[in-house]
Amino acid sequence: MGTGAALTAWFLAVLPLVLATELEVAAPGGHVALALLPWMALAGLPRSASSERSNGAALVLALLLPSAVFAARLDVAAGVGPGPVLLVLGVGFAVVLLLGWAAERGARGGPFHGAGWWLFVAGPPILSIAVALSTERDAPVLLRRLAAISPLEQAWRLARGVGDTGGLALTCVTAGLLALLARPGRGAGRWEQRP
Amino acid sequence: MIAFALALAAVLDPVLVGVAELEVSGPFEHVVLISGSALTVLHGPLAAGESRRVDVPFVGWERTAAPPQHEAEHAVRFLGWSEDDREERWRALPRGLRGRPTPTSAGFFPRTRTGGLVTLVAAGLAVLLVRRRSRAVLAIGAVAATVLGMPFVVSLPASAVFVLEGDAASGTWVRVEARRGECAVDSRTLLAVALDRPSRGALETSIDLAEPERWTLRAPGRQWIAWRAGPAGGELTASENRLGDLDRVWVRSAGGFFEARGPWPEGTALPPLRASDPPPGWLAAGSPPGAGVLLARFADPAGEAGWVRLVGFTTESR
Repeated sequence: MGTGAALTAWFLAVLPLVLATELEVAAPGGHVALALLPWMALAGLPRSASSERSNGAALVLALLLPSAVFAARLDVAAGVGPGPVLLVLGVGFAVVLLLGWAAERGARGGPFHGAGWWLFVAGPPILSIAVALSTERDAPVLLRRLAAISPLEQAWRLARGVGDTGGLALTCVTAGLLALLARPGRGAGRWEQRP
Repeated sequence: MIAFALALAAVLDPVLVGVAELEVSGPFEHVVLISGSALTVLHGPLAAGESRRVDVPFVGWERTAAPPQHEAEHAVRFLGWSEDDREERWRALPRGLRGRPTPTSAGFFPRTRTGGLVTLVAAGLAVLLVRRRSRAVLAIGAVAATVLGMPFVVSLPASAVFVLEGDAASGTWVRVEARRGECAVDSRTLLAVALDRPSRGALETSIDLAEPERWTLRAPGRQWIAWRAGPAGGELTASENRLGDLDRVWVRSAGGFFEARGPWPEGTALPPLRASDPPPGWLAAGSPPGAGVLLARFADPAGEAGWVRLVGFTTESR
């Protein structure tokens, strides 16, 4: 993850904490979910092998951890037990790590990670929101089911109080599958043989 | 009472379905009554041969009229449903007063303290400055995370919020109280009680037989709303404040906007206009159109967040 992406994720994660009083997030673990959502989106973003990489994991950890802990403190202060908050924090953190790992592998593994990321992470939630907004009805069941396996969708549901930690935990499987799809060497030969 | 509970269900989740009249006989330290997912614990002790009649609120999610079951058959006898006048008292309230939005969640949200935000932003900038040095980056992140995990970085929300809802035309006041987790009510002044979110979970009522009119209701992690009869004799007119010391006051004429006044000490006339923030959105949202409204905050509500919403208020002195 480059410095620019890390800073953007950090800014987007800090913003809901700065505006916590106005946002009035009531969902258990909602602040943590909101703080981790940008990291899920940007840590797993498909990138090329030549992308700028600063201090990778250390930078992400140092920027993510304080905002996530601060968000957890807000959730606990709002009356949610420390146990459920730590669970959301742990699961969300694992999802970010897995998505980031998949993106790292994908950067060296050809186009499969990028396609998988759009199909299982970013595409369905964006599409279902677009369909819901344009038709003023819920998106089709198939699209909603596909969206449900996206970590972004599950984090968003948690923040709105309609999701649960189990749903977010299941998206670890999605992130793991993305990492498998992004196996280095798969298709890499063809790409590297180009003059 | 059942019909009343169902009527209230349109807005909130009513939990006080009925009040059972029981005769409890000793000896026991305490008796546990079970009603679905709700428990009622009667705390004694009661000696052998001693018996007591007690009104027990039937609190639960199941809106049926079945009497509560109990684990000590010999100790408790169900005499019938108590014919209290709670429903009549509730219905006697002005309709507008009953339908106002409750202070369910407002005031329960924690606030981020400036120190916490400064630490967060400073840590981000420091990490950016030393981003090429892994150890320094991790050290800054760890220190910032430790500091931001401390309780003092956020200000805790009030454990209770109450709004004194007033109707100037009838001179009626109702105290609507929102509490987290536990709510102690006096059955003599209680009009209605509900939980703010439709959800199932453990409910517990605790009654000390030494003080049977005081009911302690518990629902961990949830918020109670209790309607109680307001203060008798409390009056708020432009010429005199007989309600209590108010530190923030906003007044809206029938067709105008909210204008800030105050502070308004008890026993004085309405203070002049002054520049101030607008009233909290959740409080202003309950103001009916076409009526004069006064919104205010109590100066010292004994650690609780206390507010006033008086509909029908005019700035003309009587």
